[in-house]
Amino acid sequence: MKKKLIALVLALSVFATLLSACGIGTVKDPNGTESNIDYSNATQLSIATWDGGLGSKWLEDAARRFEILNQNTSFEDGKTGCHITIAASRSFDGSSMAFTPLTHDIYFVEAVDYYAMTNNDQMADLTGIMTKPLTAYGEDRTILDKIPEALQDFLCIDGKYYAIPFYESFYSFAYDLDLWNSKSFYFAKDGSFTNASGDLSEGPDGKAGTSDDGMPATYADFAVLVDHIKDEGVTPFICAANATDYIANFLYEYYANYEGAEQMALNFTFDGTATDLIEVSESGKVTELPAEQIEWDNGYELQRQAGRYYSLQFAHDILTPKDNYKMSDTHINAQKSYVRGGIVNDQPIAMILEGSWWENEAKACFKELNDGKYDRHNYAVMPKPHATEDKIGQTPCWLGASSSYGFIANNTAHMDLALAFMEFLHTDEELSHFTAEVNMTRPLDYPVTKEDSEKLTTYCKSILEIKETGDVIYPYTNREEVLDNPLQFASFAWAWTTSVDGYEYRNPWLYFSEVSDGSAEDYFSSQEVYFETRWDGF
Amino acid sequence: MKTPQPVGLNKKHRDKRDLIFYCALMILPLIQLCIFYFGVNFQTIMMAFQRFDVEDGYSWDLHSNINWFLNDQVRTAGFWAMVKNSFMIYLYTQLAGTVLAILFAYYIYKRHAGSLFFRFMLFLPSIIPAILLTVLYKKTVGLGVPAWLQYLFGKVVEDPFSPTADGNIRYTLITLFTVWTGFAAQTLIYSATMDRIDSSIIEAGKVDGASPWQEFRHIILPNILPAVSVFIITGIACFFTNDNNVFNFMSTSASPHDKTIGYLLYTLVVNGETGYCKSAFLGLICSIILIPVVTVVRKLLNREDD
Repeated sequence: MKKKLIALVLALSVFATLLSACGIGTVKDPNGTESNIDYSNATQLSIATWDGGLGSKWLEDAARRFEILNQNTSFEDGKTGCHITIAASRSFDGSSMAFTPLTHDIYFVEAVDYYAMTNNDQMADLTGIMTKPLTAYGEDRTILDKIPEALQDFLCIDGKYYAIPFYESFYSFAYDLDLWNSKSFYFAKDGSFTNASGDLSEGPDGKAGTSDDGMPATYADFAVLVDHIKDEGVTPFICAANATDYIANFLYEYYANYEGAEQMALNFTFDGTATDLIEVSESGKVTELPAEQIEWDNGYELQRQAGRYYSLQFAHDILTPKDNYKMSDTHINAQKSYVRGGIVNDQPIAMILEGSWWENEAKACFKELNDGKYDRHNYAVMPKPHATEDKIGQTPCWLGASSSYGFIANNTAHMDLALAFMEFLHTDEELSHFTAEVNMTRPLDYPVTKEDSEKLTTYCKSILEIKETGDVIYPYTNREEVLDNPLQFASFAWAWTTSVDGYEYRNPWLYFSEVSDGSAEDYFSSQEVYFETRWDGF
Repeated sequence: MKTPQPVGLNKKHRDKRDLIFYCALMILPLIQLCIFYFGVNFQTIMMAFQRFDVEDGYSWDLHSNINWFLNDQVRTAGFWAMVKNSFMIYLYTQLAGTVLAILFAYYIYKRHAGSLFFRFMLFLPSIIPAILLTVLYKKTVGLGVPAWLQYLFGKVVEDPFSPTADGNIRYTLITLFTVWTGFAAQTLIYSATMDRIDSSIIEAGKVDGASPWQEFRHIILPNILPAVSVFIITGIACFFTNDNNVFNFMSTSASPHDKTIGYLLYTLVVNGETGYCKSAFLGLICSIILIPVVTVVRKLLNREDD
């Protein structure tokens, strides 16, 4: 009897395995609608994604919607429908992909060396789907129409496009709206501090009645605010020891904000007139230099842009003093401390210095709070203060930096399906769903539907607002000299590499932290010399 | 009288099978040697005379590598700080490491109290992957110790591995880690070598009334000298490649005062293909400097051994 029972159990297990292998099952779309999809004869598609701040749920949801939409479509002879599997892992690191064979059909990964991968013929040509209007989805525009011009130029190789930009990120302070309100960290019109419903100052945009009201308008205001925050027993900001690059990127944002879109673009085009070059003496005396026509041959002159100097001062005066911040060992722990600060533990933190993905990355922290019956706080991107009063009212400028891309592996056996899915992912509706799911944006032009915008957090809404009210610069160029010298140009290297007293530094904050008598003047003045002496070698 | 023949295959067949077995055994290491030694080294030497650009790939251009080496490296204080650090790391690992390792190995060899435990502890760095060991050390010393100090004395102590911490303390702690991990390997080799010394020699020494120090000085030390020579020679050969584990601890945000030439070589490669040629050129220069030094030291040590 016992043997029969075991045999029965084994037989049932085999049957169940066979059923699942046949793929007969019920699939729920992300809205909960159930559909019966027969995967037994479906074309298989495998997608790999970096399992970082964005996670993979947005991709899982989109895949289910696509499968349901195409359950009766044939993507290859003798097969109907498709079955999309998502592999999410931190092993899918774009930086090493140029040296390894691609084993999945589609990739959505970060730190991609686009030119190295296209040189290796690893990416499939997407020009067809990128230049075809998305009429099948009721849209008139092409995918390319949605991509900013600077990115289009960067992606275009001999008239062809091989990847679509994935997510965009902005480095900034995120501030805790609820904490700021309860602690009265907002500037009032009379220069005192008040809560969110007080008589707020006009903020960096110089206009009353806008979302930046009550925010520090200048670096000097910011310094006052930091002192006030400390006086209230709150830690001004938190950052992470394993993510000091964030601080350099953050400063790059402040530098761009000073320069504005037009002047900042010179750093990527090397073509135009630089109007705010300066010289700084050892004592800090700033001398404005005459406007200068910039071309590649004298591109190093851009190292004299005033925005660099003022951002360095901000780093020196505000970001470096140790009582202004808490240093966590990892960015994940920094997020945890920030999210729990003032709610679970007793040390509230006013701001976190992070990339715009942080809220999504901190999902587990928010869940922990929720499980512990605590209400989470609301957050927003902090509008950037200006270096000087005369800059108040200038359109804010943000750097949409990211080297993340979506692309199809050139060796895929399911090219038709892969192309169809890529097309589907870049419809307005799917892009909107992406933003609703991960609370981040993609560097494409698309509207967020009303239904999706209701799902957004205050933080994501503030990201959408900075895109709407500010200029976004995409720090990309396909100049050969730049691509050939990543040590001096990649990421924030062009903004911050210098050699002070013979020692090379790439991160001003690390320099100020290490060299106790280091000054913004020394750092700034050495930058131009560093690049001028190396320029001919580039 | 005929020599009895083994039962089974005749000699011809046996030779053939032995040859196949020998080939099967040797083919993998030979392929590995060809690819990862000859292939890699040949390609690296070629790269020292090339430059890489994104559009055209690799092209012959020794001039740009020489320029980079002379102008961006040799003429900077940062480069000489790296050379100095490499030298200091060599001194610490060789002098402190070797002397302590020999004494410790002798302690274990003599089976004094706790010797088995120490042997086990010393094996740990060899069993645990280097990066895991680094993380353990970093968390224990960087977070655990400050937390205990805070708990015991109520004083907040900063994580010494934080980028904002005192650079000297950070450097010392990282160097101690390097010495410890290198020390373990040396101790184990020395104690194993001591174990192989003929016990009759030791006993003869004891009969002649040799004190433990005399035993160590006149019997043990001469017998382990070949192993010591190996470590001295490999230590010199690794002079420029030892990164003092700085990358494991600090990643790319190491202070210029913590870096070694080994760190520079490594980070140049980490930064992508454009760094390969520069790293290869620097590697070639280092080899040119070290080959005569290693040869002379080896000859001197061999003379000592003789």
